[in-house]
Amino acid sequence: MSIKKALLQAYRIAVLIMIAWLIRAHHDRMRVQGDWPVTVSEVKTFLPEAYRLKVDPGPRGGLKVLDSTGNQIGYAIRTMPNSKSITGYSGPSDVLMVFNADDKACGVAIRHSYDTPSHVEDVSSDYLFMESWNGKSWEEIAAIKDLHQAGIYGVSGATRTSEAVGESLSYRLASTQGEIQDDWQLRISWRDFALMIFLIFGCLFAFWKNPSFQRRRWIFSLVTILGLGLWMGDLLAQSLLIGWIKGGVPWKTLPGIVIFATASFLLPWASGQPVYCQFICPHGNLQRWAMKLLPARWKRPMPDSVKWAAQWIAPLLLLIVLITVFLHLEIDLTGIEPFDAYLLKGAGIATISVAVIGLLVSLYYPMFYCKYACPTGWLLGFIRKRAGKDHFSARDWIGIVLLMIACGLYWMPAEWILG
Amino acid sequence: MKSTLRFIALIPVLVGVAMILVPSIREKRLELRVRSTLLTVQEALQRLHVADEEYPRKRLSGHDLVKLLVDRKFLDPTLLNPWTGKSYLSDASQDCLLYHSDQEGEIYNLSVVSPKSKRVLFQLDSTEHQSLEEENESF
Repeated sequence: MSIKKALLQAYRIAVLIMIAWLIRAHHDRMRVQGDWPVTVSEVKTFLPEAYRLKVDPGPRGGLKVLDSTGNQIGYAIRTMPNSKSITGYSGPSDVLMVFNADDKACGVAIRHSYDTPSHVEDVSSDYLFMESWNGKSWEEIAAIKDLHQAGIYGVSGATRTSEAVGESLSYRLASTQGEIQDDWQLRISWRDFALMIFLIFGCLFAFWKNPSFQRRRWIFSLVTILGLGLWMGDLLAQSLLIGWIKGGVPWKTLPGIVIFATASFLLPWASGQPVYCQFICPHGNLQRWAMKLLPARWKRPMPDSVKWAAQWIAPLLLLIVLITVFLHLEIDLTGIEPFDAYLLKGAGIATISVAVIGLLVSLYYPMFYCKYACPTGWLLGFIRKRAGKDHFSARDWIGIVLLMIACGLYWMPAEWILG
Repeated sequence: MKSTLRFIALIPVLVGVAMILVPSIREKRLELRVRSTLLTVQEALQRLHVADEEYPRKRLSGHDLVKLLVDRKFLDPTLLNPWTGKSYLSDASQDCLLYHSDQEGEIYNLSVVSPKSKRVLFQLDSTEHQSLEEENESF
């Protein structure tokens, strides 16, 4: 491979990895910060040198407090939503706790409360109470089961509110106190073996051009439609990929589909062969069968202008995916692709419509959905190694634009769009 | 001519994308405004409860509740109706906020109900729904 080709391939996979990283980082930030993110100014009250907050996606689920040189000088957590069921007089409170560099509490503040406002004000202004945790470690606070025993006494006239504040803190810290049980045991089921068989045969049909073997490809395509599609329902889809990016790749519980998906991306990237799209994807194979249904003379040539416009469908669907993910819109990502239709029972109207319309259109314009409207296929095509001369094409420009949009959505406050 | 044809062919695609995105963005914006209004009204209601030692014992629409809270000076009169964008005091045309209490005025319930399906979209009350926070996924 020439250097130029290698750089282009590196660029293409890097774009996908960066977009995935942005989605993951945004998800972690939302998971930790929620709808009311802790701000530096709140933390500065207790740590004046605080300059930046960095989301900690680890078990503590808080924020690392960094100074201007990037050194961690503390840690901050909020009690909501973990402690939302701990109510004071009439509602729960969202409490901020800040730890210093020695991992000792150095400040507590009530950020927002659903409790009686006057009680909340009484508690907030009782410095003796609010400083009761100062100097205590995370573990010590998490271990507090009885506030009185720990020497923390409620605020007179707002006892329940203040006790709820104390309990919220202990509960929040204790809820992440336990070590996450890392289950190293791989769970392998028949589905994993079945997916490997599909992958192996897909690779065989892609790379082994033996004529007698290739003549049996129609059998494999039927098996993918019936087996992989209708029976197992294991198709690559945006909803699957986004779920993995946000929630983690389930390689221990579903190793088969993880290997299957990884190979589907790496094979075209490394070899140029669209193994998944061309040989394995049930919907692609179904469209190939649909192509054969109508006589060739019925097929219409697509006007150039329509072809040009149709090329934008998949990238615009990817744009919808990005906007949905970053703005937390109520758009079901399974509905923008036809793959969930293979689940039959659980399929929604949108996904069935996309499947049926895509197939009907492909009767007259062969492989229409695969060529123009499949966002997952677009991604696989984006990273696919090109045969012959390769250059920075329109598709690569679209990749950059999608990356820039992801960056913009990541850095831009959602209020600018949502108000 | 070629670019004109291309642009014309692109219009349905763009319209399709807009039909997917625009309603969802509008819905999200409304959701954020409704949450903010609900929290503001809830806080004012709590202050009223402290003053009167009970919650209002009648069923009230959002507009009537806001009027009551504004009259008692627990709420800013400039509060906007999140569904219309106009002042909540002057505009009762679209109001999906409902309030009720028990006979003793000891508990409150604020609900936002979908105008079409009558499904409860948001709820704040003294018992089961004491916050609008959503559960985090486990760390």
